[in-house]
Amino acid sequence: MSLFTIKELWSLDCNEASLSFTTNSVAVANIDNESEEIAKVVVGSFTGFLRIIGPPAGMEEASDNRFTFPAEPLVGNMLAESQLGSPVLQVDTGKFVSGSDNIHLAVLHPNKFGVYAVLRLPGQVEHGSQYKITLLYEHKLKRLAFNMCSGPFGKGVTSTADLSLQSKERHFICVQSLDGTLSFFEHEVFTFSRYLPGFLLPGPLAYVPPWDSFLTVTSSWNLQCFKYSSLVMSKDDANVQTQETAVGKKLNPEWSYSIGEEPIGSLQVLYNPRNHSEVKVVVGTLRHLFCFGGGGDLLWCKRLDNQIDSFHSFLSGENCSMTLAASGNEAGAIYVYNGTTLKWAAKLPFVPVHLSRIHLRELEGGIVFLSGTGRVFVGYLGTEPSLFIAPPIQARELDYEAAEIELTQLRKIVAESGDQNVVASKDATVEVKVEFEGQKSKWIESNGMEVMSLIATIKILCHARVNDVRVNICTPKPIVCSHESVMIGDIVGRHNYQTEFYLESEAIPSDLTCEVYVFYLNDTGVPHFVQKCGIKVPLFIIAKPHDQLEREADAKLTFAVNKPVMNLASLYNDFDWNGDTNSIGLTFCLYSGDKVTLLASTKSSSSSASRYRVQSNSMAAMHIIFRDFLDRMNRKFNREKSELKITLVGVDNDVPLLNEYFSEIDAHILRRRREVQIKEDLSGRAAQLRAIQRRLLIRFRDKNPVPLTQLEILLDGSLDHINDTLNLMEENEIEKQKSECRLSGATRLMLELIQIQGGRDSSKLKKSIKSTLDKIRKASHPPVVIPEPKSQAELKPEKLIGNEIIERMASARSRTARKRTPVLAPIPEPAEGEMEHVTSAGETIQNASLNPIPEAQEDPMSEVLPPPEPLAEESEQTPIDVPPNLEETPIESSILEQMHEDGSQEDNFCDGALLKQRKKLYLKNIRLDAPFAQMSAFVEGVPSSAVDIY
Amino acid sequence: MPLDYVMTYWFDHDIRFDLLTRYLKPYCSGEKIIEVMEPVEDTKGNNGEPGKLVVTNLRLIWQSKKFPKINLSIGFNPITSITVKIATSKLRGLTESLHILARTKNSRYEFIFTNLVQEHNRLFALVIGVHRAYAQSRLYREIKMRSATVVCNKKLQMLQQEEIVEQINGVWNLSSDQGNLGSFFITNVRVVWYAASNELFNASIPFLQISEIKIRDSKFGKALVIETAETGGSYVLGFRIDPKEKLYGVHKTLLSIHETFNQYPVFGVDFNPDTIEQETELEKQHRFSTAIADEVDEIEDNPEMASDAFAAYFADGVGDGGETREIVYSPELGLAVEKPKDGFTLQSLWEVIPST
Repeated sequence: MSLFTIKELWSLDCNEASLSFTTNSVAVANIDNESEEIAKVVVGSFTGFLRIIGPPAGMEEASDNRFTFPAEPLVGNMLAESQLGSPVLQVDTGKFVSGSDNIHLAVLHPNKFGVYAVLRLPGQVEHGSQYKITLLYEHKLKRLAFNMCSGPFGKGVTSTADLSLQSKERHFICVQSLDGTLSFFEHEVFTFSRYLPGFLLPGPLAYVPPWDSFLTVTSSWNLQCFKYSSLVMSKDDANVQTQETAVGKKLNPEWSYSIGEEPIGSLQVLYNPRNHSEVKVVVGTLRHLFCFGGGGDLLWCKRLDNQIDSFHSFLSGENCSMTLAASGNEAGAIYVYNGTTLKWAAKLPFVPVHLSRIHLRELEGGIVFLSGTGRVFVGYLGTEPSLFIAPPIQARELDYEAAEIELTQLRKIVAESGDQNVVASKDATVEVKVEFEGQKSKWIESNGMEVMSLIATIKILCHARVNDVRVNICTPKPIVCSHESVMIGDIVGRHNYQTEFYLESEAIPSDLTCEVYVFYLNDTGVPHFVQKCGIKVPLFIIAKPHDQLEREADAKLTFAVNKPVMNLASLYNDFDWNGDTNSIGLTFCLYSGDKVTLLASTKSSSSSASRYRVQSNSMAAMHIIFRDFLDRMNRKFNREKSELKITLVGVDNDVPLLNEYFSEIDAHILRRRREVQIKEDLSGRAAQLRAIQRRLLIRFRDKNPVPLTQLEILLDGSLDHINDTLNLMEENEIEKQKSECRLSGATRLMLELIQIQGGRDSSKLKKSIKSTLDKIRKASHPPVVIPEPKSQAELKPEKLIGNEIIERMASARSRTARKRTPVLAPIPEPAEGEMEHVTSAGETIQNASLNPIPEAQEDPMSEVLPPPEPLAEESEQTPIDVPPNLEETPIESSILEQMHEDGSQEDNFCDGALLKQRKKLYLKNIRLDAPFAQMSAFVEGVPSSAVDIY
Repeated sequence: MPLDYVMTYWFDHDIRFDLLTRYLKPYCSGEKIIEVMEPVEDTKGNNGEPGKLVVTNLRLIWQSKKFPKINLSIGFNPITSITVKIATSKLRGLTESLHILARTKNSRYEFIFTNLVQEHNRLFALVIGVHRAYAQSRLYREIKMRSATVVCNKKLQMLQQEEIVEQINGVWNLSSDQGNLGSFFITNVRVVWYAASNELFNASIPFLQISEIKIRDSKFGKALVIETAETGGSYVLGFRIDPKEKLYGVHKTLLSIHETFNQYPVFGVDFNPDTIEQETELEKQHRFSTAIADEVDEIEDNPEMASDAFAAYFADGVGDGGETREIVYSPELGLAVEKPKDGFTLQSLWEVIPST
C-alpha cells in the first residue's frame, strides 16, 4: 500500500462490456504520421470497434518542455472510431507498406488481418478535422489466429550499421494460429507457414530483431527461441508453399528455458536500436519476473510480493531495464522496478489489462492504462503523498431520552424472550381446545380388557405463524391417550387432530383431570407453550352402570349439601340406567371391578339441604365418584349462580376414613416390600445359576471327560426358578401399580375431606387431626409409621425429630432386628406428642419430596441376567445412596453362602432405616409432594393463603 | 432559455448534498422515478440511520427518514463504478452493500448503501441496471463526433426512442476551409450531420446540449449556427444549406423541435424494474409521489449547496484546487512524475529510512 497515487492527465471511457479488451488490444504510435509526432493510442475491442484516441485538444497547447498538472482531468479526444465488423484480437503498428516510411496499422481478426492507413484531414477548428481509416490490404487466414508479431524478419539489422538503411526497413508480420502454425506475410505476399514443435496451446509471441529470432512460451511453460533462418530452412523446397501446408521438417528451438509458470501479458523485448549488442527479454508470470540475455542466459529473476496482472518493461538510460508491474491485489497498485529493485509504488484507480509507456511530445514516460471495459487512462506518478483520511462522521446531537426509551423497550424484549425457562405464554397467539364428543365412543380391547374408548378432538387455533408445534397430553394413570405427544410442525390458522382416551389397565385412576400442553416456537425462534389444565375425562370411560344397588361397603362417606335432593339418574344422564330412574341410589362398576354406590338420602330432605352417601370398598373409587359428583353438582348449580356447600355428616369434626387410608398405605408398602424381596430372591437365584454355569464350563473344558454329576438338572432347575421369579415380579409390578393408583386416589380423597372438614381454619383442622389420631392410637394396630432418622444422607430429619423418638426408634430397631418382627413396627407406647409425630412426618415427607430419594437399584446380577424392568418413576431417579443394609449383600458368593444370606435379608427389611427409605420412595412415587406439604402446613398453622391450592 | 431547464440539468451531472427537498423532487418532466426503496442505510455518511433511496432515470437520491434535510443526490454521470462489497452497517452488521465510486471535477467520492430489508436485495440489481441503462444511452445526452455508431451505409443508426423528423441532403459543414458536403438527420432527440465522402466524419448533437440555434452571416454566406452548452463542450457548429428558403425551413424545424424537447426532454434511460410486489399502477404512482418527504420549514438561504456534508464521502484527498504542479521526466524511473516539492528528491520520498 503506497501513499502515492497515479495522477491523471486525461482519460476516455470506451464504455464496453468487461472482458472486451486484453493486453494485445493497445498500440501506441503516431499512427496518422503527424509532423508533430504526438503519440496516439489505438485500441481494438473484441466487439469489433477500432478507436484512435489522441490527447485532448488542450494538451497540445502546452508550452515546450513544460507540462503542468491540469486543473481538472481532461477527456481524451476520440479521433476516429470505426466498426470493423469482426473482433479485433490484436493491433500493431509498423512500416507495413512497401516503399513507404509511414507507420501503418495492422489489425488481427480471428480469420483475417488487415493493414490500414490512417489519414488526418485537418479542419479549421479541432472538431473540423476528419480522419480516414483506409484498408490497404488484407489477408484471409485459413487457420484461426491467436496473435501476431511484426518486425524486419530476415533482414538482420545487425549486419547494417547504416541508420539511413535502417529507416528504410520493412516490417513483416507473423501470425500464430490456434493450432500452432506460424504464418509469415511479407506485406501483400504470403511467404510460408511453419508448425511449432510439441505444440499444445498457443502462448505469447515476440520477435527479437537483433537475434532475428522468435520467442514463444509453450504450454509446458518453456520459453523457446527459434531462429528465423531455421524456420525458413526447415521448409521443403519441393513445391510452392501454401497456407495449408501440412508437412515440414523437424524444427528445433535454438534454446529453451523452463520458467515453470504460466506467462502473463506479452514478452517484452528490450534493446537499444543504436546498439544491438545488449538484448534483454523480460518474461512475466504471476509471481516472477525473468530477464533473459543472449543465448537464453537468465540475467536475473525477481520473485514478486504480489501477484501481478500485467506488466511492461522498457530501457531507461544506459541499459537500465525498468519494469512496470500492475497488481490487482488491494484494489490496484503499480510497482516500478529497476532490475530487481523496487523503486516506486503507487495506487491505481483500477486494475489494468494493459499498460505501456507513451511519449507526451517532448516529455517521455507517461503511462497508458487500459481497463477491461475500455477505459484509456494516461497518467504519471504523483509525488505528493496522499495522507487523506475520511473525516469522522459528525456526531449528531444524541437524543438521550429517545435512546433511553428504546433501551428499556429492548431490555424488556430481551427479558421476555431471552429467558431460558419457558413459561406458559400469556399472549393468545395459540389457543387450545379439547372437545369430547360423547357419540364418538366405542368399545375397544386394551390389554385383554374390553374398555370404552372416547375420541377427543384437540383443536389448535394459531393467530400467527408458529413453528415446530408439539402437543403433549398428560393423563392420569391408567387412562392413556392414543397420541400422547404429537409433532405437528409449522402451522398457522386452525389445526385439529383426534386422539383416543381409554383405560390401559384395571387400576383405578386417581383423578380424571388431563392436561394439554402445546409447545411452539414463535417467529423469532423463542420457545413458548400454552397449557390447558383441568380437562375432565368423562366418567363413563372408567365406569359403567351396575344394575344392582350395592348396599354394603367397607368405607362410607356421608355428606350434606345445601341444596335440594337431586335425582341421581338425571344427574348421571350420560349413563344408560336400565333400572328405575327414580332410584335413591346408583351403583357404578369401575373396570377394576370396584363398585361404588352413590345414595341420596330420602330422609330429612328439604328444599335447602340434602344428604348423600358414597360408599365403596375402595377409597380411590370413592374419590372418583365423589369428585365427579361434586363437579356435576357444581356445574349444575353454577348455572344457577348459587354456592354449593358441603358438610360431612357423622364424623364429629374428625377426619373420616383415616383408618382406611392407612390400610391403603399398608397395602402399598407391602407391595413395595414384596418387590424388593423378589429382587433379592432373583439376585440370589441368578448368582446360583451363574455358579452352576461356571462349574459346568469347567467340566466341559476338562480334557478328560468327567461326569456332570447332575449339574445340568440343577441348571434347568435354577433357570425355572428365575423364570418363576420373573413372573412373580411382573405380577407384583401390576399389583403395585394398582395399589399406587389406589393410594393416590385415597390421598386425594383425604385431602379433599380435610379441606371440607377443616375448611380454611387451620386450628379446626389441627383439632380434628388430633382427635382422629387419638382414636387411632386407641386402636390395636395403629399404622402410623414414624420416620426413623439414621442414614447419613438424611441429616435434616434428624434435627427435626425429637431425641426421644430417635432413642425409641433405635431401641425398636435393635428389637426388630433381633426378633424379626413385621415391617410396620407399631409404636410401642404412644405416650405423648402425637402432634409432633405427625408434624415431623409431614416435614420429613416434605423434605423427602425435595431431595431425590435414594433407591437401591444396583443389582449385582444385572450383568448376567436381563435386569427386571424398573418402574418408570424409579428409572427417572439417579441412584444416589444405596442403603448400607442392602450393600451388605455379598456379590460374589457361593450358592450355599447365598442361601444363607437369603435368610438374613429379612433382618434388613425390618430395619427401620430401610423402611424409612422405602416409605419416602413410595410417597415420592405417588406424587404426593404438594398435598403432603400442604398437609404439614395445615398442621403447623401456616396461613392458609400460602397453601390454598384447590 | 427557461431558467428551470437550466436548473434541471445538473441532475445527472453532479453530486450534491443536503439539498432542499424541492430539488429532490423530479419536477422536470424527463426525470422519472424508477423505484423507491425503503429502508436503506447510507452506510458511509449516515451509518445507523435508515432512510429511503429513490432511483430515478438520472440520479440516486438518498434521504434520511428522521431528518429529511439530510440527503444526497448522486447523478449517474459522475459514477465510475458500482460494485457489491462487504461493509459494516450499524443496523445490519457485516453485510453486502452497494459500493459506488464517483468522480467529479475535483473530487472522488465513495458511497455505500445498505438495504435494510432482508428478503431480497433488489437494491444491487436495480441500481446497477439503471446505471448501465444510463451509460448505454449516452448518445441521447452527449455530443459525439467522428463516431462509428451514428451513421452506417448512409442510414442513421436509430436510438430506441428516436424518430426521424427530416432528412436533408446538401448540408455543408463549415468546419474546414473548403467545407464538407454532407447530410442532416433531424430527429426528436438530436441533429446528426455526416460527410458524404466519409461516414466516419460525423457529428451527433442532442437537443439536450444545444443552447442556441440561429442563422448568422459567415464567409460562406448565411449559415445555420448551432451552439452547444458548456457541458457539451461549447462547440459552435456552422452549416450551409442552399437555397435560403430551405435554410429557413430547417431553422424553423430545429427551433420548434428544440422548444418541444425542452418541455419534454428525452433522456433515453429506459429501465423496467420487475415488480415483485403485487401492486397496481395507481398504488405505485402514489408511493412514488410521496417518496420525497417534505421539510416543513424550508428556509431558502442557500438553495444551491448548503452543506459541507460531502466531506464524509471523499474517497481520497480533495483536489489540489487548481494548483498546478509541473510534470517532469525522472531519469531515475524513466517515467513522467509530478515534480517533487523543493528540497525533496524521488529517492528521499521513497525511502523512509534513507540508505546512505
